[in-house]
Amino acid sequence: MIGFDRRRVSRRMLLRSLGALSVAGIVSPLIAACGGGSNNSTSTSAVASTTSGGSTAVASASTGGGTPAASAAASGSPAAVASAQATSAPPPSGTKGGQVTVAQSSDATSMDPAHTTATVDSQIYSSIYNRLLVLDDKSNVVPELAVSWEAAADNMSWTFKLRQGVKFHDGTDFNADAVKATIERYLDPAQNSPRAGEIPYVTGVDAVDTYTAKVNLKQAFVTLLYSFAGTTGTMVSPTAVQKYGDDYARNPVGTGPFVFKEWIKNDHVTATRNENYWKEGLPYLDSVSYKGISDPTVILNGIKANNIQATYGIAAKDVASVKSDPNMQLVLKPSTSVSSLRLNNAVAPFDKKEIRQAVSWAIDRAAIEKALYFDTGVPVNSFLGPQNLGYDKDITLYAKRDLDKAKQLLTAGGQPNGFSFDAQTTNSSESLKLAQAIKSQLEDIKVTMNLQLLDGVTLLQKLVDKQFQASFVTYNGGVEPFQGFNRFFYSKSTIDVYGYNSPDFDALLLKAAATADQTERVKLYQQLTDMLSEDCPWVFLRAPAQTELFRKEISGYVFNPDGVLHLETVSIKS
Amino acid sequence: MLRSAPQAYWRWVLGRIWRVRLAPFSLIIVLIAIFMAIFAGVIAPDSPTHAELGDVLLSPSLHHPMGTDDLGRDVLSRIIYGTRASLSAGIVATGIGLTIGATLGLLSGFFLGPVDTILMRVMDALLAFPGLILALAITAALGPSLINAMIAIGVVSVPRFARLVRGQVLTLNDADYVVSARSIGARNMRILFRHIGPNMLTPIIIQVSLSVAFAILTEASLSFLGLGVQPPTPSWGFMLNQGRDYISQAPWLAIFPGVTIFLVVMAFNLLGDAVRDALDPRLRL
Repeated sequence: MIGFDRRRVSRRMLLRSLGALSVAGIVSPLIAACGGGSNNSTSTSAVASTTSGGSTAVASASTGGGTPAASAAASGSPAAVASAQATSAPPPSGTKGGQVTVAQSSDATSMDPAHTTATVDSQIYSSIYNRLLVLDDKSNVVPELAVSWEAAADNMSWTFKLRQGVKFHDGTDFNADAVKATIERYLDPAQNSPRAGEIPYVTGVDAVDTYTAKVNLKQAFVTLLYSFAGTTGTMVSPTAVQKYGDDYARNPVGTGPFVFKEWIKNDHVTATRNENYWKEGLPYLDSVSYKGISDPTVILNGIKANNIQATYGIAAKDVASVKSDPNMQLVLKPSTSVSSLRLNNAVAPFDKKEIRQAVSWAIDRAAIEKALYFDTGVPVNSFLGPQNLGYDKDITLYAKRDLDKAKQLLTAGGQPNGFSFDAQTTNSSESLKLAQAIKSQLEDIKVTMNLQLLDGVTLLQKLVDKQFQASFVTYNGGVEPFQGFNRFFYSKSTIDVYGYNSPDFDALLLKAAATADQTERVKLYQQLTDMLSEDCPWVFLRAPAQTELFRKEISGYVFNPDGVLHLETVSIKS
Repeated sequence: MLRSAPQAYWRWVLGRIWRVRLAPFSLIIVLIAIFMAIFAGVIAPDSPTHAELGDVLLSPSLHHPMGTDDLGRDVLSRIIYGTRASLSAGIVATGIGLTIGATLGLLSGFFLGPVDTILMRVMDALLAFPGLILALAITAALGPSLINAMIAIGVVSVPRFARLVRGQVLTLNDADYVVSARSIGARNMRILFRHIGPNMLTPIIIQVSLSVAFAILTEASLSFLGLGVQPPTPSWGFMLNQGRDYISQAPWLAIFPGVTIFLVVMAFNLLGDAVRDALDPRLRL
């Protein structure tokens, strides 16, 4: 098993999985794509930004073997999670008709979920496709194409009961064979799909009967449901895949509320209403369009002029003006990402816990949030933000800046007169702002932080190569934090770039890996975050906001913590 | 007595420059810029790098005559400190260009033959690139920093100096006093440095002044693109880029560095023109 795990963590896989991290300050692809002064930062963010899918994209790195051993998992509680509750019927309100244009930072890259993790694509998939499962607004996994599910007693397989009477847009029946074909296509080495890394322990799918699919695992994988509630759960039509072959990426066929109509490269993707959608009465809109526009100012003006009806990823500085605009509705929620100053715990001076803690105490998170981000996000002092499972709001460490404590800790750590270190950051204006503010705050405890400006790709590579003392990175781990814990802080993680080594943490993580019961697992996650806040392997800074912007005429929109605009319930008020 | 002759000449030159239109204005701006660069630490009201998160994006006021930026730093102080980066880039880059360019030009023009052919073809190749593009390419290759930006801009200015000096050498080589010096057996070095060198100072001074303007503008462009001065050290170009993000909320962030770049670059250009006008024998003032 382990041997298999250690297979090919090629440089490419690594980089790809690192892509799931967005680099510090890049709050959204939108900002990133225009904020940076250099092309490099733009391209990074393009790789970097992944949403729900991206959450687990990280998994491909942890596939590298850092995962708590299967044995531990096998001994775990044989729990079964089931949810028989079908999705509640959609509100019958809403007028039919109308078109919504969603503006995003760039045009789509591929219509084939097997071959992209870009946010711009996930957005479009939410209209054309359905996933096996989805998140509700409280981040619980709820039924979509699968109506119920159950883990085997040994946790080595999951059985999904599928929704009946669902048809793909090309008339193909949605059934266990379709699930098998889709998932096994993601896993097919010939496809070289980034999705494979998001479901690392899945070995295959059995079609038990027409509407029952059994997903086989080679080791317990308690967070599988969250993978299937992300883009990896996207179901594609097996007939269409066969028919189009490599051209499938331009001819997508799903079960979603809208049917793919056209993709004018470098301009827009349009989909029209699926008249036979399995959710009765939905969708309301005649069509949806996704338009790539790199300049956020153009997008905002487009919304003012009603050429564009929706967008996401508004820069913090624009939030106030957008809020006061009567033509716009702003959705502002904490995102699932957290920005941190990652420290290299393996080398001086950050090999001492006191020094790391001193830096953390010297930072005034509230002041930064207010001044730089106009209180759009949330200051955090732990690995998890408010949108992640296991977030512990009661952690008081570092919550309020304490310079005296910081100085005491510096003395305790053997650096009473301060020290200097190099911190790497991308050269985008957003990340530079954060880095410079922190540099100024650290001056108050005589700690000098020298900024090294790098393009995003180089910055991520330096992390992998362990050529850093500190590095500003924003991580979007999705709702379920297991992969993040495992990847960054498990001492046997193969990409052990941070040098954090705590037997207590490891033991607790193994326990969490084997705990299928979510309430129990969340409790363990809380303990894990508490441990990380205390040991301070990274200096946790803030949870950026997730922003979505709509014209005032839009109604019926339901926010989803996966970061994707789900438009099936949306209608236009006349 | 002999020694005072060049001094008198330069006094005469200054006198003529002063009478060129706009020249006093540009000279004053250049002097102010130099003064700001040298005494930045004394005259700047605030730290140019320390973030005051309580004072972000304040509009211009008595306390902050040019407002504050997105990190609460005084824009005026940053512009004053930014003069250092701009002027040092202007001077160092021009120095590099002048030293290398003049040497190559002298060699080329004096020895002619294959040396001249090879050197001038290389210069032609360099001139074929637009200045900013070449500077961008060199900085990108060397890595972003002020020093590398200076080197890049210096390299870009080399061919201009080389061609100018070569042309001067070719002209002066045939001048009567050079021919007579040669006829009485003066050595090459003596002819070059005693007779040819001093007599081509005027065009070089003009070129230097224009080159400084070019270097300041190019440095600002490179910094704008993140390839020059590295934050938090202030530079006008970077401030301009930073201000662009806030053009609707806090226009002063972009206006003041922009105006500063405009004034200083224009001043150096006008100064170069003034020197030319003052010394061109064909022009009557």
